[in-house]
Amino acid sequence: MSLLTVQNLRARYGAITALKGVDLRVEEGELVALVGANGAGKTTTLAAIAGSHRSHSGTVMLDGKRIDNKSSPEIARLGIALVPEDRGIFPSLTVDENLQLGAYRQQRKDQVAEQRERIFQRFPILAQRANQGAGTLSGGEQQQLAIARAMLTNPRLLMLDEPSLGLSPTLVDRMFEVVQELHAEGVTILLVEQNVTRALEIADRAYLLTTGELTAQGTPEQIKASIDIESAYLGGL
Amino acid sequence: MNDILQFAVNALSLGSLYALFALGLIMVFGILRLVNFAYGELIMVAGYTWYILQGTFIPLVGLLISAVVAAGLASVLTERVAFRPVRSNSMNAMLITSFAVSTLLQNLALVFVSPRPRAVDVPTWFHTSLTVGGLRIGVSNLIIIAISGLTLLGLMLVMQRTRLGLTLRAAADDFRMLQLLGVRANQVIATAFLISGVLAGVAGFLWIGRIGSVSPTVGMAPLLVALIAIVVGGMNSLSGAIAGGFFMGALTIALQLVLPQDLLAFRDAVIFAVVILVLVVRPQGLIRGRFATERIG
Repeated sequence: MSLLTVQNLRARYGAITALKGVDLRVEEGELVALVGANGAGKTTTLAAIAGSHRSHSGTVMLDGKRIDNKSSPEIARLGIALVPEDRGIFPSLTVDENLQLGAYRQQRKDQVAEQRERIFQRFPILAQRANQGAGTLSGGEQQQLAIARAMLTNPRLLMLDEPSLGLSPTLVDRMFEVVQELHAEGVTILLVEQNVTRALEIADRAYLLTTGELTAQGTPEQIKASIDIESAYLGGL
Repeated sequence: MNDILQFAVNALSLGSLYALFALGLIMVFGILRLVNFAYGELIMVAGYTWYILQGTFIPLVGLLISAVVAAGLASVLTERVAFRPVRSNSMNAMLITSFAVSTLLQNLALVFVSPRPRAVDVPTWFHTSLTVGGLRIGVSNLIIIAISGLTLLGLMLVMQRTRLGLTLRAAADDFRMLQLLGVRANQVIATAFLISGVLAGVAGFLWIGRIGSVSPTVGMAPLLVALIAIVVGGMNSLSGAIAGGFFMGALTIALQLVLPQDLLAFRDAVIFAVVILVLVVRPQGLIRGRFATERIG
């Protein structure tokens, strides 16, 4: 059984249809990339899975149990963490307080402390800025904080929406490294990216989303091939 | 010199009441973006609780506590039965609901108590004054400043030092993200309403003690002042609400002193004119919003 199964997912914003029936699955331990052009519906797909996009239909299953009728806090409690495109940092809270909210539901203090140690090793800047206002962090630092906070929820599935967006080239490299590291540690990841080339380099499998529909799926090579064909005939992504 | 001190005490006393009123209103607004027009009726509930329970064995402090508890419960109850069912509909539905709750509560008081103001038993010492070094200070002012100050301090401790306060602050920043972290919306919102009601209760009790009576419309004036105070304060932070409250208090007292006798009737008109002027000069309010600074990535 797949960890996450999405069947015939449809979503709309008022009169505009954003998703026209998307099917995808993520296996335990996989790194799956969902790629596509701007406005293809990638963010909507993640929001619908996380329960924060209201008007959607279709089936979303975690471990074969339907979760599509649940609210976003309930879905989060079942182990799906979303790092949204805007990073969702609480700007008037300190970095440390942001992290505390990630660990909000964890009971065991010793475990939390241990996890925080690991997080600070991976993102040393967060340790330095622990007592600083999160709103004063740079874009790259905010992205690190958002991922760190999501990891503190102990997710079974980590969904990352454009983690490289708006970052400098060095930071983009570092961000893809982080995603790869997390994957190597066994974290299951659904990665949404506009940076198709980079995303396909690290993914186990990938889906190509074009204006609300999946137009290709398979190994990164297969997706690359179909993108080449598409750009040859349709003028690119 | 004495005049200045006198002014400071009066302004501090009225300002701290206004600040509490404003804080109670922004508590809910910060999270739901709802201006709760039924807020004034929580003040009314505190007043009628006092009126109904007075003359029994309960001492004054007990009356204060009862009034605060009643206002807090009323606030949580309105959230549960009126606001929660319409929350997912639209902002307008919430706003209309708040008017409906306000009218309903006022009319309950009208029917079951009286449309006329009812006197509350304020102890005589409340309206006496002390003379300290040539300075006459009203006992009522001292008590208002002390109780408001303690309430403010308590609120700050809750907001800054507790888990509950942390989630409330986060909810005011980005409620959607807080829910994505697994924090349930209903709990956070109910807590915000509870704190809002408690603040309305404390400030309302002192306010009604100052006036000496309670009527169905007793909450209208504080609601209006609170609303203006949070707008002047920038409408996005607790510190803004406090600043706005003290600003309104100081302005009211200052005009009371400065305006000639025949113009005193127009005091409120002058207050609003000054508020408009402030907003023309500083449309963002007294306290800068937390999103006003551009982030550099």
